[in-house]
This record gives sequence, C-alpha cells and structure tokens, in this order.
Amino acid sequence: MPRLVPCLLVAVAIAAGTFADRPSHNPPLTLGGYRVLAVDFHTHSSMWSDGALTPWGLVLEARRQGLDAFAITAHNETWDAHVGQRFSRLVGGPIVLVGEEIVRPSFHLIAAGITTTVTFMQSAAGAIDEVHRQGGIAIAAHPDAEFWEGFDAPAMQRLDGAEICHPSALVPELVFKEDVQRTYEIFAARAPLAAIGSSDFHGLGPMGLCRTYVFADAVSEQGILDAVRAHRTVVYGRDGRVYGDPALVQLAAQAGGLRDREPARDRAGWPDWVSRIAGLLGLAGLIARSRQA
Amino acid sequence: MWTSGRLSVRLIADGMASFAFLPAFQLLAFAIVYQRAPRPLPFGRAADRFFAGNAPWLWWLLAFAALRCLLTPLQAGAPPELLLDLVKATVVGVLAWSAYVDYQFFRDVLVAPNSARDLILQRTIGLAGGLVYFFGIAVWPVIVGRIVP
Repeated sequence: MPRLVPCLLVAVAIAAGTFADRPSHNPPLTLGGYRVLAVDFHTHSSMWSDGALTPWGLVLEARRQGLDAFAITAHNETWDAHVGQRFSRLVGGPIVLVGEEIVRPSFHLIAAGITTTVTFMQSAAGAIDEVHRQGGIAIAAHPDAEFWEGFDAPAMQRLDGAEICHPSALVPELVFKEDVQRTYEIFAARAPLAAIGSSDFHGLGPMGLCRTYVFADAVSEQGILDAVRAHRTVVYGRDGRVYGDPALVQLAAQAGGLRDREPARDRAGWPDWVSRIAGLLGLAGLIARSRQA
Repeated sequence: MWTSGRLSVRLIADGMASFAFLPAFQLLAFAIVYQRAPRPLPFGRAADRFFAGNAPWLWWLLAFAALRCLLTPLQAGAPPELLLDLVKATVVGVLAWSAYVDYQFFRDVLVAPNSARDLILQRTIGLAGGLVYFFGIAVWPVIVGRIVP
C-alpha cells in the first residue's frame, strides 16, 4: 500500500474532526434575577496532574463544552491553574477559577477561588479554614464512603458544597456494585451544602459531563463563589434527578430545564464518524508501514 | 480520540504537548543504554529504529481508540468495569511483546553485550520517569498521608 494512502486518510480525519470541533454557544440566561452559569468545579490538566489536556487546552475544551466557568484543580498544587487562568484572560475564554484538589488518604477536597496552594498535611477542617482565608470555597470531592471519616463534624460544618453528580455516579449499573449516587445523596444530607456537579475531568469522556448551574449575581469569579456560599445551585443527576435549591430547581423547570444548554451526548454527527473511521484506518496503515520499515 | 471521539488539530497539538514527556523519558533512557553499547549505528538512526519498536503500544492504543468510537460520551466518561479489566489484562501482554521487540533490538542492532540488562535499565529509567512525572504529585500525598497521620 503506498504511504500516501494512510497519510491522506489521517488528513481527512483531521479535517473532518476539526470541522466538527466547534465551540458551543449558548445565549446568556437570566432566571429570577440571577445569571445562570454552567460551571465545572473539578478538572485536571496534564501538567503533573494526570490529565490529558494542557491548562490552555482545558480552556479551549471548556469553550467547546459550553461552560461559562471552570476550576483547574490539580492534586495539591495550583500553578497549572494560574497558567490556565492567564491564558483564558488572554483569549477571552471562560472564567477560570484557581483551584486545587487537596488529597489525603482520608479525604479529597476541592478548593476553588484560592490564590496559593493549601497544604494537604492537615485535617479537612484545617484545610477548609485555609481555603476560606484565601477567599475560596471548599467542596467535598466524590464523597465515597471511604472518605466519610475524613469529613468529621468540624469539617462538615465548614464545607460549602459537596459533589452530588460525578461521572462515577452516572452509570452505576455498569461500573460499580454499590449505588454511588445514593452514597453521595446520603453524604449531602449530613449538612446544608450546595449541590455540586463536576466532571473530575482527566481526559476520559467529556469535560462538563457533570456540571453545576450556578445562579450568580454577577458574571464574575466573585459572583460564582458567592452563589455557591449561598447554595444557589442546580445540578442534574442520573435518571432525571435534580438537586439544589428547591426554588431554583422549580424556576429552572418552569424555564424548560437547563440540560438543553449542554452539548448533545447521545450520538455523534457524520463528521465525527468520518474522522473516526478515516483516522483509525490511516493510523493503522501508518503503524503497519512503520513496522515494515 | 478518547476525550472527544474525533481527531482535530486542536486536540492533536494539545496531546503532543501533554504527552511529550513519554518519548522524552524514553529517549533519555535509550541514550543512557546507547552510551554503554558498542554503537554500530549513529545515535539518530539508532533512536529512530528503537522507536519503531513502539508498534505494540501503538496497536494497543489504536485498539482502545477504536473501542471508544463505539461508546457514548457518557460511557467514555465512566468506563464500564469490564473495559478497565480489559485494559489491565491486555497491558501485560503488550509490556511483554514490547520488551521482546526491544530485547531483540539491543541484541541484534546495538550488539549490546548484555541485552537483558540494558533492557531492564532502559525500562526502569523510561517507565519510572514517566510514571513519576504523570502520577507522582497525585500519589505522593497518599504515601505521605499513610506514613504521617
């Protein structure tokens, strides 16, 4: 097979994929006097945080997924979040919150809206206090039963929110024996907390797969943080379940729901299929040729 | 392709930047081994032929990219346990196949006096460097947290 054929197939795949790779545009939405913003509070970049996209790549991906804001939350460091924030400001992208996933064996805690790294060598309550001192918010990340011990009573009193929608909770019948969604619901019932949906994006599946609709006074980082502190959030979970402030849930339902604002998740369009098939055949041809060489 | 189910200029460029550390660590490890060998080939050509031995990994990645095309974005975001088991089961075979290819390369092309030792050295430096870079910061607090209560 001439080398030109696999090269052409890859070129066709890239052309079709690039054609399909367009940002998602949603008109601004105001409900009950609040601006409704789609936010993903939990993402990881590839810079020392075992993600698949660079911090600037996350900014572009967030735009494609129709997110108004997101937090870059590396494990126990913040420098890639600063990089992403600067890049987004440069290109006029979504609001980027400097964040961190504070990881200890006993808990995983999302800090968003902070300025510097919060050390993980402390209790959850201590870490939350430090997050608050920096003006940020603290969210319990994927609160599986193994982390409940770390979130003791002082920590629960201080938390601003908890993830109630997370990719691991979306398809439990295929993935886990336990009902993860139910576990998160029980955790959230332990204290008055803002409902949070996050994708914990590492590169598998779409960023913003789970997202939080924040009802903000202002389209700004401060507006988002204030809204979470006031528990003004709505989250769509599995099987049509909706979480968050009941009045806002009702308001969103009267407006026809907010899920229509998310990119289609059910099927791929024809450019995607052209990109996939041509890409797979072309790459297979190139690998086969490289072995021959 | 696993992220979005398509190839695009943006994702390819970003993927190249994100995962440049893999060939970088591989090249570093290979350079160390090369220095110890009789060096019958110039470094550039030897490295080029060494990287051609990555074919097992490329086939493996391509197979999972093909599998991703059959999954919905939702399933890709939270892969079924069966898929994760498949990754674990097949990675051992790919590791062995790849090691065999590189062992042959060290023995027949580089004419290394101790190909097995060179292979272990190259794998130790290359894999350890890559794993520490990618997972190090995530794993470190788990290790420290278990030692220091």
